[in-house]
Amino acid sequence: MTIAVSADVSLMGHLMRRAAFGAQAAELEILAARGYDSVVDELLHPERIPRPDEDLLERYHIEHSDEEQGKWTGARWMFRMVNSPRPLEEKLALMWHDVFAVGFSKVVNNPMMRSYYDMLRDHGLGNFGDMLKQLSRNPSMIYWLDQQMNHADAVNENYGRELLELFSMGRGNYTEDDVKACARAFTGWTESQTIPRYPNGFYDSKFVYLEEDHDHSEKTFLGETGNFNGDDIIDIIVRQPATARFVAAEIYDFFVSDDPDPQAIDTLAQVYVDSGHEIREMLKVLLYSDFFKEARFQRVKSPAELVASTLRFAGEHRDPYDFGLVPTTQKTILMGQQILNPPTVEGWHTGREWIDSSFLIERVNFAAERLGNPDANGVSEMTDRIAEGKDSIAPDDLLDACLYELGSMELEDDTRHILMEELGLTGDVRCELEADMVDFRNLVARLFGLIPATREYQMA
Amino acid sequence: MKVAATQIPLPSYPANRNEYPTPFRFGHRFETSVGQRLASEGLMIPIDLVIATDGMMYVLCRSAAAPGIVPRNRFVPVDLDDEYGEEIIPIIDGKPQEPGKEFLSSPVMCAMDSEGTLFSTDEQANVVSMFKTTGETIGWWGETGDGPGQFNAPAGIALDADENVWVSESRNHRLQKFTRDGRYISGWGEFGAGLGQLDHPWGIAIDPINGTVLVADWRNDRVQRFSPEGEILQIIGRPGSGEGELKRPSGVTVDKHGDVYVADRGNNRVLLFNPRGMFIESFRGDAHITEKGYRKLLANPDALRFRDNVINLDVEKRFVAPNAVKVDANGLVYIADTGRYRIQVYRNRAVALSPDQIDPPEMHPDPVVY
Repeated sequence: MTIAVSADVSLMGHLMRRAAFGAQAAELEILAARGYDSVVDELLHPERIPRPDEDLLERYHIEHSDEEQGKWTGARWMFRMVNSPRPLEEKLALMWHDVFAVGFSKVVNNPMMRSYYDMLRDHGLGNFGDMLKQLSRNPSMIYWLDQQMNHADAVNENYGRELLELFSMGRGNYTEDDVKACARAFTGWTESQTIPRYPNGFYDSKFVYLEEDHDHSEKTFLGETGNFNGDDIIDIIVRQPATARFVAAEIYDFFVSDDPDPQAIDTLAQVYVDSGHEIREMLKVLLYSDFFKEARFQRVKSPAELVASTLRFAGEHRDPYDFGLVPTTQKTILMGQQILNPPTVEGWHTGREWIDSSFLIERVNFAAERLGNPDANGVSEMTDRIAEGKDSIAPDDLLDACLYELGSMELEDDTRHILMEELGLTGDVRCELEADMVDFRNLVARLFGLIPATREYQMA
Repeated sequence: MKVAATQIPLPSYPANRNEYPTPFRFGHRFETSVGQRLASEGLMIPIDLVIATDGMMYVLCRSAAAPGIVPRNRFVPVDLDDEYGEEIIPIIDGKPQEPGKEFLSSPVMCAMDSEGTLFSTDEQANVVSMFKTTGETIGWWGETGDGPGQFNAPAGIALDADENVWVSESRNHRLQKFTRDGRYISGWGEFGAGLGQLDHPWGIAIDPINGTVLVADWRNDRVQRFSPEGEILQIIGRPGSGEGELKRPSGVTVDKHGDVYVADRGNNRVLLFNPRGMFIESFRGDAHITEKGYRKLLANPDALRFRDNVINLDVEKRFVAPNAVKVDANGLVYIADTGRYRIQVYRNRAVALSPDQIDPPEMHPDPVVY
């Protein structure tokens, strides 16, 4: 490393990779000057910043005006990942989407998928019990797990089982009788029938509670007995130690590392209990912890994170007018993740499973193409910053400067060596005169285009 | 940064109340709806339309269906009986545009001249393109930029009595006038919220009575009327969702009495104002299922059962994001119910009163017009 990078900027780069979708060095320097406390506080309180009006996005993508296709909500979400001044709520929505996985493949109704995504976004930082209660009332989830077929006289256990197994406690922490009691408590929780999409498009659906279709008899659930309804069941679930560990492990996995650390998870589980199940409090402790601050480049970026962060560096899709938001968002499919369409109720297999030979090629090619374009707004901005005030720049310094611009990245020595060899520079590169800049821009873009092939770029 | 709206009041419009006829408005009658969500014999995202003299509608569709398979840009001819003609898609270098790689990918609005030539704006290609109703692509004119005659996201389009072409540009925040073959004549407009300033203007219309130019000042939630030379004459509507209020209006048209229809897209409705800017009535949609829709549903037992279980079918009638409104010489009002893949048609039953049928305006005080 030949350029001195302040510890504050480096830490801010880490924070923005994890709690946001990455940031160029120019932004990191501003945030670092504000201080870690201030930035964390703002991230944890998105409600203090109004959500931007997205009328221009609707305006220039009018072909999606009735939200008929799930991929438009996915694209809108990608736009928010790239541009939202409240990135943590988008990040958390992404996390919960994987935990409480619902897919367009079965729901086939985008207004419903949009309400599901809105629910994740609106409640992601709140109380876990409230989130589960909202989830249980969401028409997409109801349809996804057949809750509309869960009747007092014909119980369907699908939602009740997944609520315990995948959404809260995890296997081994309840019995089959608990599953049955849970399902019975949710009888009568259903959705209004939507009008069929033909001939005039999709309509939304609403949660409906049918008192007459609810099993009002006594139930015994996790050792407690009563005439439980769905909310009573959730109140019992959120008090379980297994739930505390489950939520802590999900948050740790998403924000810290693909390799679990039992001690750190215990710490977060205790915050869950002490705070009354508040996700915001858990994240606050996490973001100030050493185990978070030290976990640099230890988490494989999901395809959505990789695409969003690359677009942010490249400066693409900042303007709602920009064409091609849907196909750009769809690039994540080739990397193994279609937003709003997980393969099963289990969500995606994350971490190193994002990296197989074909996915990796797509990941590298996507980022290399975007960052290797000298005309891309973000690439041009970063190049200008690198050249600013210099007559020429040494090859090692040029690599350092590019890494710094890409969110204060750090590479292992071997990787640096390979990149330098690939670059093949024998002397300083001139960047003083306008005439120098054409070649300089192409060279820098070439280097930016090589960096996505590094392990570190693929990690957060 | 947009400047704050000025509070300077405009003189009442029109200066001469006798400039416009006084109609006796006794309500619009819902006539019919045409179109369904089908790539063939349907209207995939109908964003605007024109009505030919023979009554055929040419509906400009910007499809989101099956990108790469269904062209994004096409005119769909359809009549009031929901019968379809041959679609008109752009032909470039002798070949139809390849779906997914279209040059003319993003049509916004359309107009028709007296010879039946179709004109449409394209906000990505930054051109006005022209087609014959028989299907031929005549060509296009325009180039990207912010200089006189150049375009940045052309949107609304209308022809005046001299058949000059008026175009609004949403990203240059202005209006420009051209000859039909694209020669620049004049233009004005600047970004802002003040009197006469524009913020992402969208649909435009020419008042058939006096040639004034009305524009849906989309992001200012109002309609503004200008003289053909660019003098601001009137503001119609104000931001909101109440009576006579507008939320992101996209389309505007003026009928033979000077009454102004506004596609109040963000409020999922169409509003009618009189020439003085007074709110008259609103339309929220009254559509029924078309014959084609009926027949298709009848062949789908599962969809019929779904419908039978629906609690509220009232929403089926209503507009979703109506993008444009047009009128014809016979008093029909056509509303592009964009989010519901159809055109809803009303009949305006207003008749102009002769001076001996109504007191002269001088005998009654003018009401306050907001």
